[in-house]
Amino acid sequence: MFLGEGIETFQANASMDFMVRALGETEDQRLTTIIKSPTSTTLADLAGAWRLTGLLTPDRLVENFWIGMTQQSRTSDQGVDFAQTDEQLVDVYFPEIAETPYGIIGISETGAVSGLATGTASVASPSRVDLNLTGDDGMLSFYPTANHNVMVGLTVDGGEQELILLLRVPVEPMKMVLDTEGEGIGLIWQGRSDVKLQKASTLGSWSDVIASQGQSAYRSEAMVEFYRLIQVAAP
Amino acid sequence: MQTGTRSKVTPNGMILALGCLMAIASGAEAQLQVSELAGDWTYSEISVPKDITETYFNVNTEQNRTSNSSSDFAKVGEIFVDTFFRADFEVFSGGINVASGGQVTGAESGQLSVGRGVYADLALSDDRIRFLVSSGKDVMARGSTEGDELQLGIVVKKPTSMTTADLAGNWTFIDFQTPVDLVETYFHSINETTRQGDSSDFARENERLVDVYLKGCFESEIGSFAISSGGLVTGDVNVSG
Repeated sequence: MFLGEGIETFQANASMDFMVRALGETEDQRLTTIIKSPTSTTLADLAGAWRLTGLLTPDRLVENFWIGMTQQSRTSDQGVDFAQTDEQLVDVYFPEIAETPYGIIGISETGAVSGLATGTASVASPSRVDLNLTGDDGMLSFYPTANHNVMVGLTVDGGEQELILLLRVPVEPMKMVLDTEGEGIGLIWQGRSDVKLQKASTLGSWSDVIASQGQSAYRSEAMVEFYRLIQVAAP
Repeated sequence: MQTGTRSKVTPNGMILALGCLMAIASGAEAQLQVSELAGDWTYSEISVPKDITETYFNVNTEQNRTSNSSSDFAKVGEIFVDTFFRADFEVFSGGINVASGGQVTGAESGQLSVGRGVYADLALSDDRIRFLVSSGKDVMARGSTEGDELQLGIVVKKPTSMTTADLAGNWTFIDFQTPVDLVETYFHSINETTRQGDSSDFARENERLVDVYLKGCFESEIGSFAISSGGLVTGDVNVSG
């Protein structure tokens, strides 16, 4: 349990829908976030661009023992294990290396997820949003704040645990934000079903960016390219 | 905007020209103003090491070999004598004040500015920190890697006033826990005894490492609770007041 006995102090934001605490103790340390649930959540509430940051750590330590008699090795992720007779501890390692994820995702008002990850968003309840992502990411659950400006998610899987924060990017309608972090350049806009992205290598020769209608993020690897958002008939 | 790039706004929206080695700050996005970040903030941060380092003693050459590779292991003639984290597990909390001009005082001193219209860049005397800013402008966050240390920091702008009734509603907590150190067990081959040490310890003569485990653990938890207008807390957390 993240709470001990006595008074526990958390820091609230001005909107009073998000609280945080960093606590160091003798045996462990923790970062705890508390999110006030919205009274209602729709995909339209989530539409827009979200910057992602977080912290991924391993969830265990693995030991590797060498057995001299059998000339074989034995691995153990049990903290109470130790070298037996005729065994030597020869390696200790984490199953995953810690890292800090970074990126941008867009959520359209129809629930399309684009950018760093692609897939679909659905509202499980006012307090929970599920991102069903393609590839290895699978389904991630996020918990939005009451004003839908911050979402926090947690995954524990395959030797790692990851705390993820999504912070909504303020984007004006029909305008794009540029993200120059990472590979290429990211374009972020408010995804709507009647808005799509077009590109041109020279001004005037516009073509649709495939499957961009209803999306809200795109990453360009082009050396030189022009981009624009245009309003079209909703499907 | 740098030479070689162009941009303009059309009735249909914004046209952007992208080129390599350029950094566009076109002003088309909803620009953040540093004055919007003025106020009292609280900073909470957790730091973890990126990985561990292993030390092997070669009984033939009597030389130590250290390895940062998690896929490495003791070779023939080597004894595993030590392992340690490449950086510390740490948490930090502190308050800062941001003036309307961006001057920062408190637990950190420096100058806050707006980067590319959307980031908050804090220039310290010896460092520069970039935060993501939520559209509500009262939560900032940064995940960073500096050498062998990884950090996740969250900064919240304090409410100008707050009552218990303001907190009434349903809440979800997410607790992210890490250990703080290693515990090493050494076996003395002559005395046939064991002793334990922390990650700063090292095998002594006739000793070898026989066990390593975490002091504390990696663990995460999600739960929910409700706060009444009177402050009563019920749910996965049951406390009063």
